[in-house]
Amino acid sequence: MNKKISELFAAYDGELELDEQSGFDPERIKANTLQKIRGERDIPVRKPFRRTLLIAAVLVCLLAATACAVVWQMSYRFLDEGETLEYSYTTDNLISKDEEGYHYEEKSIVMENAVMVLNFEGRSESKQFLLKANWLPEEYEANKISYAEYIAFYADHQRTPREYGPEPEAALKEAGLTEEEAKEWCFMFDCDAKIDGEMKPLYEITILQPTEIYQKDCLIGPYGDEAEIIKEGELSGWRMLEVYNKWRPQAGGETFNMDQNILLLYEPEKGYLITLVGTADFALLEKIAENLEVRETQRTIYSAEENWFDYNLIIAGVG
Amino acid sequence: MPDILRELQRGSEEALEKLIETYTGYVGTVVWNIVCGTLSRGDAEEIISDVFLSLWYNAKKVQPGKLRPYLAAVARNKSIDALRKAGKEPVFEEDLMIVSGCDPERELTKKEEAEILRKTLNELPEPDRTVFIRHYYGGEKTAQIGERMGLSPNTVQSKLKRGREKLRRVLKERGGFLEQEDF
Repeated sequence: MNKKISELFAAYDGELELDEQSGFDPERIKANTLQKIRGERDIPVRKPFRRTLLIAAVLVCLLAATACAVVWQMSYRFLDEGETLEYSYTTDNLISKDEEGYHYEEKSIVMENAVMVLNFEGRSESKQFLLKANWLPEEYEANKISYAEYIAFYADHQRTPREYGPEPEAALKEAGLTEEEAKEWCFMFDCDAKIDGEMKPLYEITILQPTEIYQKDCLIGPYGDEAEIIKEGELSGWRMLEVYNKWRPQAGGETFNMDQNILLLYEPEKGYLITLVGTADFALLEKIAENLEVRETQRTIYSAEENWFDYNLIIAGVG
Repeated sequence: MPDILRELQRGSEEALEKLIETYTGYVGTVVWNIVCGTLSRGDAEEIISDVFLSLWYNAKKVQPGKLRPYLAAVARNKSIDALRKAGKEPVFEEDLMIVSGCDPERELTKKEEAEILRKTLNELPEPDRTVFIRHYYGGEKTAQIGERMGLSPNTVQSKLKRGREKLRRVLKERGGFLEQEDF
């Protein structure tokens, strides 16, 4: 994709001379800014709710050649044989509390069998994004976690330092949503369906942003044995990547077919990632994706990391 | 000013207040140059406030002597984001498309963009350089630039054209080009 001259100037970090003629009142700006800062102080550091939605599992990619490909501001690379990957995550173990919020113990995991890493750029500060699925296959019942459920969950856990969030009414106001809208707009949808006599995850759709990720600097996908890049391109205005994950776990002397398709939708300017993962074929996932709607709320979220928060999808060996 | 930045980095609200007093005019001008005609003054005030909020949370990353460039960059980005949220795109006159090179499917990396920009700006004499930056970065309209720099509109147009020519030559070295414009 090409850029305009003005977009090239996003790389500029020098001086901008101009004649100040705005007429804005510094006192009003001061009052507004300080009000926002003092309001934000009540928000603790971590949101553990999302961690229950992330499956701490891995994919295996056995592609023959190591290669490095760049896809927009998302890149993937295959690790060299013997190369390990370490990522950090935040535990529930509260260490300290100060005026900046709550601080939890952080640990690292070494992925010895990692073979592929996908890297995305996020934002140090962005608005909360939510999803709406305008089309889902009717023959299977979908579950969803709406914004209303999300804030209700926090309201039920207000007393513990690991949970946080304003009361539901204030949370709605913060996001700029009505009660009805909070029920409509979601963080995720999923659906299990009976296929070939077995219950399988048909699809799971989530929207992720850097501060929403439990693991600070990585996102991990589901288990698998092999992975293959199926398609790269654009879909409904998003950057798109399709990865086929072959997964045949064995248990009790039997081999189970748990192959999954992964469709990733990325908007670089906004820094969010939508993942559609499941046993549904790509045609179905694409149809769901084409009918997805994204909404930017008024709620600002912040990353604890550098200005450009890179996070990774690790594809690794099961071991 | 370095002292105030240090105080801000230590979490001093008083330092932030002083910086807001000092830079509201500057930040407000950057914001208003981009959103004027599309967003309201109230919207612009929100953006300005968010710029200082960003400074508050990222103070430790601002290097001494780089405060104004930081504020300008954040103000620009937030203004463009706000326009896009309202379903609009920022309007820069004669905002031609850069085609990156032999492989039009490949997008320029950030490093490449920075290098192209640096080379283009370094090779532009003044006041052409300032005009180019004020327009394509600062979002000032050509008529405004002319008034404020004491140049006629035709002169401003001519200097912008020279800037684009320089950019065209820098891109050509890399196998890229600018969309053709009518001369």
